[in-house]
Amino acid sequence: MKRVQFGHSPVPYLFVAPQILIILIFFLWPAGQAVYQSFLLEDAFGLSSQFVWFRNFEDVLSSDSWAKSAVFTIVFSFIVAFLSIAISLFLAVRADEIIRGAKSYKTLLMWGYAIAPPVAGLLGSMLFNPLMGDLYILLNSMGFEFNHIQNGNDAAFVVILIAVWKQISVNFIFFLSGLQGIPKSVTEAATLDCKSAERRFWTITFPLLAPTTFFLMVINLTYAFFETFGIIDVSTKGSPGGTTATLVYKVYVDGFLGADMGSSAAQSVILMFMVSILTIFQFRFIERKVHY
Amino acid sequence: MYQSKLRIITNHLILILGSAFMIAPVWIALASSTHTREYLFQNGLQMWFGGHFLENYGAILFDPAATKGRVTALEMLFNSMVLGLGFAIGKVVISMMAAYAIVYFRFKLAVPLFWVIFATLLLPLEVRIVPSYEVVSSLGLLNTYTGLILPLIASATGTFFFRQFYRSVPDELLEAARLDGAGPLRFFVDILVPLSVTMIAAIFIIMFVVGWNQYLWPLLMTTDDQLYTIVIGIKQVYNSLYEGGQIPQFPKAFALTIMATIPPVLVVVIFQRMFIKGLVETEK
Amino acid sequence: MATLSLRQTEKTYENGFKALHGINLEIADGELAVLVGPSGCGKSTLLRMIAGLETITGGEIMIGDTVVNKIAPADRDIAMVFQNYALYPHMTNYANMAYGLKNRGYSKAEIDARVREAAAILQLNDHLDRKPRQLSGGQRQRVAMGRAIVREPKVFLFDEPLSNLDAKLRVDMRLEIKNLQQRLGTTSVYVTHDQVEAMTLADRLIVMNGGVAEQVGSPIEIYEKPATLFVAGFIGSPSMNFLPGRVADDRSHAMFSDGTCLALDHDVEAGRDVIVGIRPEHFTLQQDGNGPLKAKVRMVESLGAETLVYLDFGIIGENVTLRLQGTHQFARDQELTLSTIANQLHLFDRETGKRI
Repeated sequence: MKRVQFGHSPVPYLFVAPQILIILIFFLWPAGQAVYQSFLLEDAFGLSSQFVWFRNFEDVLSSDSWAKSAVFTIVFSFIVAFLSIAISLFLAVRADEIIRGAKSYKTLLMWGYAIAPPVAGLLGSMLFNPLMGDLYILLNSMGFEFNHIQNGNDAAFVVILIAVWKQISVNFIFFLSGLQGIPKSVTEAATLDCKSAERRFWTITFPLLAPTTFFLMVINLTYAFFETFGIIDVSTKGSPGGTTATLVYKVYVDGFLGADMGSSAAQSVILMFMVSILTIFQFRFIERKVHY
Repeated sequence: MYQSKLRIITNHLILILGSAFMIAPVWIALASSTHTREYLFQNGLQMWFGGHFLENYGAILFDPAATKGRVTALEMLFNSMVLGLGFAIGKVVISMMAAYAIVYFRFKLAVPLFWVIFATLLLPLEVRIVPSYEVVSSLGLLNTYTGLILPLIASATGTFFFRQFYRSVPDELLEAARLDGAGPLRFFVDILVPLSVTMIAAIFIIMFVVGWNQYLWPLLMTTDDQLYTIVIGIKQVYNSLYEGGQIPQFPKAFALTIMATIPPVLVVVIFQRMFIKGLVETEK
Repeated sequence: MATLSLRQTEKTYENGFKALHGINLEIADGELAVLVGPSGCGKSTLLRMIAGLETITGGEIMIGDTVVNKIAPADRDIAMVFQNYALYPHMTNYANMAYGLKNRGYSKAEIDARVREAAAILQLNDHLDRKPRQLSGGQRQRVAMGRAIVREPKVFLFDEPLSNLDAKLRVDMRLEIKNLQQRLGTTSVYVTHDQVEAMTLADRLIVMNGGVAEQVGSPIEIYEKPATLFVAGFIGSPSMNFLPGRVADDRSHAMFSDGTCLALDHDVEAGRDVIVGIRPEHFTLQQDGNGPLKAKVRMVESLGAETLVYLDFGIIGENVTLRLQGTHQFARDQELTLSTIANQLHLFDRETGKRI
């Protein structure tokens, strides 16, 4: 921390109080509640409940629908993270080389950050609307027999496409600033040593961007896990038959629409556990970077 | 640096395609929102403007019937603004203060409190959404701005941004201020806050966009139309597109989508430099 | 105006590391005392303890007749100039200088008078409305000094104030600080790791090493009679040469392992293991080849006004520096003959490193 700090004073307590208060009421209490509920089994009318230890967890972990959703979430997250990182890295490298019009391209590629995931979902579902969606019509006229309403893979394709589209701008911003952070002299030295631009990229630029890429990988996985809720809720709603429901979406469906509180809470707790690991991973990494 | 002509041309080509890919969906929505529903139904989505801009946008802004509820898009925009601003202001103020306490003071509870704050980073609202709803409901805060905003602020991302920033402020500044007779409050008000202005602006912009774009939480806790934000309103409109056996009101739905998109996009584009600086430097 | 006294001042950090081992120091009213030493010697810690930025874990520090151990930094009536200036970047230079006075409740008129006076002394009048970032490094340093001057404190503290400046500016500012300090007559403590800066500025020089004040005295005293091997090696550039040897039976010579003898003028018992210290400028080149020391030239650096010759003395010492006035030409591996003068040799005990 700081070499010099203020000593005894009521100020820190006063300053940290609002944050702690909000955390206590709106974070610790609900989180505790989730853990508590995950051990309870409610009857069909929600009138009484009994303590069942880990039964909810056992039920969740052994249920087919959860396993299906877990597999989908993981596959979906990695595909989304990989694709959006790859596309934005490609664009950022080109944008970094541009001299004329660099600012315009930057603006054109970064503004998407401001679009809400559900809005992205709507735009996507509009393009895939069977009545008039351009992409739907295009894919079918090319003979793909595309039908995301009934075909799970096609539905997953739609969700992935939208999720990748939405995330490109964030990755682009980070990659471009990462590229611009590479000293000119290094790039110049590399051009003297290596003729092929592609080789230069893989041997010099990409390794130098590794911290950014790694960081973005974590960010993108977190995004695919959580923030795609909005996309899914307005595009496929997890259909057909739950094939495109991520774990977070399933918590919502089971808890709010299905009113199975115990199971939903158990799912929440499992998710908390998973995401904690991801965040600790990310945090340790960020902290280490700060000390450079 | 030397670049071949070919490379320069392909670079531009790739970036133009990339930009088009990003813009196309919004462009189509914008163009399609200026036609009548009959026209769209017969001719599909449109790439160019029609003559019904004022009609469609006027309707959703001022006529509750066009948004399928009891609130107009104008009221939804107001709610979104309240959410965006309230979230951004709350987050900035609270996290600035908390980060100040953590970085600049040696006090007994510093370590446990730090871990409590850190813990909030582990669990996004999405995973504790059901119990959060119950807590807010039992506090009687459903359908209130307070209930809408406060649970979203409970995550400490902002605190860590400011903590990072404060740690980069040279120690000597505090030392000089102490020799100049400034106490903890005075140092905060006279030195630290003015020093943080760009940082505050950057975080404010990011948080405004994040707040404006909130979906899941407002969806759950605003059962009353009066509190619908525009992002929630869109879903409502899209859900009722096929009701009543009429031709779906796509143009107005697109108009609403565009209205929801414009404010955050404008903020991000206008304050681009500040926004990118904030995003890149705080996340690092 | 005040004296500054340190009595057995100690600093032990919470992790048990002892940074200062009981420093005793009396700095007279109006004196400029310089703390010099390598990094990590505790000089900055000591300065920060005087300022009140570090707690004192043993002994006491007095400003005038007051023990200040428990007094807050702002109430000690001291002012400090930091290495990186520590100017408030969002305030104008005027506001930077005025801030401390404002916090102490001075009237606007009084503040204005003091700031303008200090600005006049430091030639900053034209820059008062600007922000620190619009100034050059030297000007920023002046603002930082102005901030200290306006307070009219009992003691000025300088924490390596010149180390962020380039070489030329450093020399100019050095003179300026010296002038200013003499003009204001304020008791000052100045920390630096640069021994040239230390020698030129100090009324009283304190050489520190490993949390101990190795020697306190005037710059010339310390140069001429370094109390320890460390001080001898640290003060003077290029450094003093050290040759390990033994006092001969006649007590008037030092003998080296290859049989070389140098005449001594010290009161020392026979057979004692010693280290003979010879400053590079205290060798005399014997063109006729008559002299006790034979050496081979390894490298020559011509600086114009003087020439530095790096010599190989064989088993006595492989890296000995010789400083000659004017320009000289030597070939690599050329053999030189040197002599020394007895009363210019420094003798240190090989065990304790203390001066004999």
